[in-house]
Amino acid sequence: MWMHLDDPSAFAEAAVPDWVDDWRGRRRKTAQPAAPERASTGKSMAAAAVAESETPVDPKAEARARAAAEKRARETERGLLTAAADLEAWIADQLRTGLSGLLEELDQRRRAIAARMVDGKAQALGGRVDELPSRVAALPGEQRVDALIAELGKLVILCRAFRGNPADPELRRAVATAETREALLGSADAPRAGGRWEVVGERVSTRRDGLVAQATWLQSLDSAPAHPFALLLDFFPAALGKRSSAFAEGEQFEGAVVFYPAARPLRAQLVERKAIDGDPLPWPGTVAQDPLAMYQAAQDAAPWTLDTPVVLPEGRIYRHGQMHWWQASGSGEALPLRRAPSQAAAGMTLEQTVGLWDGERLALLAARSPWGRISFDA
Amino acid sequence: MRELENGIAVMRGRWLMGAAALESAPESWRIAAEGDPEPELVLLALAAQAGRTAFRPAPDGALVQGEPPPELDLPVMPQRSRAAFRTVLQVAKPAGQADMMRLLAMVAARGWVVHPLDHLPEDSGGLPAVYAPWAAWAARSAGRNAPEGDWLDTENFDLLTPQARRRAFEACRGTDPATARDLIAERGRALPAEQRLALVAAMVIGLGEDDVPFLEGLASDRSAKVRLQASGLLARLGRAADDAALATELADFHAVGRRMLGLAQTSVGPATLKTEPQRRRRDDLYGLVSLDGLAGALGIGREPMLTGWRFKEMRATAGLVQMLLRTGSNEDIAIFATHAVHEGQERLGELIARLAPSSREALIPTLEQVAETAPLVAALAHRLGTLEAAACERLAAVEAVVKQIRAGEETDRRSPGLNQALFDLGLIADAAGAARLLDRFAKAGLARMDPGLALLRFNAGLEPADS
Repeated sequence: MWMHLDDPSAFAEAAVPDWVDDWRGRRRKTAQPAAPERASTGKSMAAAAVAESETPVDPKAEARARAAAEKRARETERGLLTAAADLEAWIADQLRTGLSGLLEELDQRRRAIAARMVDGKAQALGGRVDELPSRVAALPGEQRVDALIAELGKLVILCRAFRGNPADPELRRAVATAETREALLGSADAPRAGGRWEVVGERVSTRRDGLVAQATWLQSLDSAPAHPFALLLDFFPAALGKRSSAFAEGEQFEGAVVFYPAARPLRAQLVERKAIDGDPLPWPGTVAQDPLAMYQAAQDAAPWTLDTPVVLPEGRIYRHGQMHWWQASGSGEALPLRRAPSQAAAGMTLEQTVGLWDGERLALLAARSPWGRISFDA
Repeated sequence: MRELENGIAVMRGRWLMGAAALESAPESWRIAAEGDPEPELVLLALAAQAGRTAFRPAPDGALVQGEPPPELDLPVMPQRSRAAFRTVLQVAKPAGQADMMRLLAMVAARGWVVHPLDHLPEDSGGLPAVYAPWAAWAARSAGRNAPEGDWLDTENFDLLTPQARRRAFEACRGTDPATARDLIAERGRALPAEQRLALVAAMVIGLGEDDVPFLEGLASDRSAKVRLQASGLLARLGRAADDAALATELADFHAVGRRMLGLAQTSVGPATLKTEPQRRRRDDLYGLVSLDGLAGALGIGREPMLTGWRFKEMRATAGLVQMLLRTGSNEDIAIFATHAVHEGQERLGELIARLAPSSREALIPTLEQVAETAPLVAALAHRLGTLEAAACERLAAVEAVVKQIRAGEETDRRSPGLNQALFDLGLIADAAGAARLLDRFAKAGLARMDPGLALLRFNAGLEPADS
């Protein structure tokens, strides 16, 4: 405006550039000024019954809006692809400069790349990079290198898969954001499941981006369910303080869930919940011979995923040095635990156990035992 | 598989240093990676996935099995009550260890025990006897050699944990006070002062004339606390050995008068003191002089002094109660508790806790007219969770709670003592009584899911085990 005041001749009239249209299209609409009040003629039912004339649709404006939306979608996709490529390039740089240095400065180095992911609208990818230090640091020193390799390698797999098929809703969810609840419920591709569910675990964690993630795992109590588990994820700002859970651990209810479309659906939205009157149902009795079969199948379908709920056969918790292990009674297969369980649980026979396996550690969620149901702190 | 493991180990070493790993990769991986513009990223992805799926972790030594908690004589409470119990622990939050022990006692009185993963009780004073095997198990798990058993003898005296020894000593005093006394006389000197003090304090059980020589011998104990405890026990037996000068000094802080209520009656109360140092000195003297000593110095009998006490200053009453608990006999305490119910009610809960169950029962009809809940909890300590619905509704404490709720509604501010009062009522009511109180408080304006009502909700849902 200042330049125009100084020298108006420098400004020639021309067509409105596309970027201006785009920018105006993305601006939040300001509130319309209040319509002037009609001349008061007193209240009248007849006047109220007169239908107001509808504003005529402007086809040109509609076409412009549609074009702008498509353009925005293209821009977003381009941004996401760039973010995925940037992350791959960053990981390649870390390999070239040495992972020992990255381990020492993981917290500082991840900040810049995580911010770049968020700028490119790849919020989910950014969040996963942001949580890298906490996941790696949770392990003993000698296992951190393996954990870092696993985390970075899985990010490479995710980036490559997304760049190969950016329209895939599961991959897009893992890179950008999940579909809205309304979009999910309206989707014909979203699998649905009903029946009796039990709340087998809940984990609340504060993320580095200031959000609190509340994860609730439901187990289907049907005899042979197509989807044995459902994960309900909720996010809210940490500034809102502690929020009480909508579920009690061990609670059973009749309900229906809609899964986000995926090769092996897990994340879901609860659409119906009814309290039960009768006695609680037992857990489904059949457990796969291989306790990690569910994890292996999930990795085959979506190798970028981190952890998977598993149902373990009868076993016990044992100790070896500072570590605690779950060990199957029959096969003797042993899995190391992420956290030491309560002293009381350490010696009990666990008839059936539900936990989260991430390829390295088992986080126990709940178990059935001769002492009744047991909940663990995931 | 070993070859793959070694290959990944070499690649890891090279990546740590910042060197390319392509040449060290297993051949099939190298072939897969070579065509890619970033072969190292392909190898990284393969290594990550192999590390997470191709290998299974294995302990590098024998696994040690833990010992599960032993089964107790009572069954674990039903599943539906377990969730309500956990809610009590989370939201109602028993105020301290004593409240926690009362809650466990109430559950045990209903015929249940808690699930060890919902709450593993600490082995502290007041733990219901049914949990004794868990206390011994916890001690074993912690590496302490703690044989079980509710009897104390020279063989297990040094092996038991301090808590288990105190419990066994109390049991022993209940049935054979002389044997218990001989044990403490023979082995007690080697114990630390705190443990010695706990055992000497437990000699109140079955206290009798036979204990006098041993207690007099403790006058030379190296711990001042043990000496004071022993002198208190002697005082309860009417053998106070007070310093006359101290007793007189304390008496000077009091005023004796007469009041005319049909019959002339002695009235005793604290004199008005002007300075804080005077009040502090009086507090100290309450801890050094016996009840007998004070009564003697005032020139009146113990009973007239207790029944004539004027509750005009809370601090002085607290000092007297402390003296009474330390040096008063059970009869003295019963007399003062009865007087306090009618007149003052301060520190009443502590006094009632010292009474025998039969003396407590005698006070209950009077306590039902008292607005405080703590004395009721103390009076019903031997039968928590059993007060019937009709009796619950009669309680003046319930009326006081209803008033607090209504006042809170009007001022939008919760009374600070409301939650503790609700917790206390949850401890003493039976299931039907708890349900009745829930209705009553809901009508008064409290939401049914109010955190303060958590214990009453749990209580109402906890049916007796044998029903």
